[in-house]
Amino acid sequence: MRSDLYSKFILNSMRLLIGATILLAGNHAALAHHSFAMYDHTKTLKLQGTVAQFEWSNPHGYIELATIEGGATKHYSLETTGIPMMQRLGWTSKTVRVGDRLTAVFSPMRNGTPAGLLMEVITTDGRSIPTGVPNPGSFARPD
Amino acid sequence: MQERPAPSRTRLRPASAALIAAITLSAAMFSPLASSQAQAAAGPPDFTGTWSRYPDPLITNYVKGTPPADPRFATPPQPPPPLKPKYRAIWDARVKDLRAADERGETIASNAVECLPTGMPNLMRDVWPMEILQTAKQINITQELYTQTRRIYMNDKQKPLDEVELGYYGNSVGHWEGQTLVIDTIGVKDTVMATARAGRDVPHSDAMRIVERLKFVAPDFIQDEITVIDPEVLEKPWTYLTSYKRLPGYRLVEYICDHNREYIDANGIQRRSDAEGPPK
Repeated sequence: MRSDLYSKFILNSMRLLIGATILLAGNHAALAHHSFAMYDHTKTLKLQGTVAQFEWSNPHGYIELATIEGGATKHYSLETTGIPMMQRLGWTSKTVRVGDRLTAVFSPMRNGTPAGLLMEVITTDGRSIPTGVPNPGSFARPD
Repeated sequence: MQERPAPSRTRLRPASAALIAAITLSAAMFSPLASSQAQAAAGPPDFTGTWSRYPDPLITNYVKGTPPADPRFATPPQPPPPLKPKYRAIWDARVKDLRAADERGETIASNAVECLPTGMPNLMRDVWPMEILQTAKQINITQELYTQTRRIYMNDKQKPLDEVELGYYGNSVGHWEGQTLVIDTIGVKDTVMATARAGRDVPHSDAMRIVERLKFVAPDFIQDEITVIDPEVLEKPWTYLTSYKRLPGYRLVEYICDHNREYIDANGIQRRSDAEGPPK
């Protein structure tokens, strides 16, 4: 049973976990290449925007999201975990493309810069795609 | 009248001997001792395959409804290293620095920031899958994290420490003791585990020696008993177990950090501005 569950992630990487929820348990701070203390765990934001860039890379990936704020374009740099962990949750380098409109759910930087830790992407047709974050239970629920 | 010879403990009547032999043989066919003897006759086990940590933190922390690990095979809690007071103080200071940095929202410089290999012995405990390729003369273990490979040279004589160039994996030689693979490793430089990853650092010297005993505990489970020996730093050898479960059908992926936005300079960790993006 457990190996079937693992196979679902590994062998069917193109299949996304529709409606999957991230198990809120465990402390994975040790897996990060840098401390996740730089993100504001008390505030989780949702932003709509257009993908300006999608870096499929290690140790972290990035989605550069172009949003409209006060009539002007603002870029947010949203970090993800590395490729092997993203793949286990069904991501590929083509899951998100430049030009895609989506809603990003993320934990913002404490220092106020337009950046954050991406936790989930919601597509225009309502599909939720979690990215997988360390110690997810330590982050606030989105408003 | 001829006296019959007194019965002797060492001399059985033929019928009794045959009966006892038959009973012993049947018992032997079904006893664990016989099966391990049969195994030994068959040769050493083959660890070739892909293995995940058991339980697998990458699954248990991201997937709902994972059944609990089988307690017969689960990795037991790791005891803390029995550090001598001087080195315990170093360890405690680093833990304190880590907590303080967390308060400030900052990261402590460590090998992990620059994706340097975990090296020995910790690559055997990295939470990503590992692949074992075994031949009679050499066994390679590749850990998915940072694409690390260590090589174990079978039935080779271990070198004197001063003939080993210090590195991340050291020089490993292996031999069989029955069904157990015994591995001896020396030559790990003293920054490998000491500044590995804030929260997992353990001080050690260049003279650290690592002895492993790797064996099957069930057809799809193997266990590595790792012993770290470092008389300069440790009060006594430090032994802990790590369990792995077979992961059929999984092919390791690359893990090359070519888009790292963090780097370490003389002032500690620097982060390329997000506007600047990653190095080209």
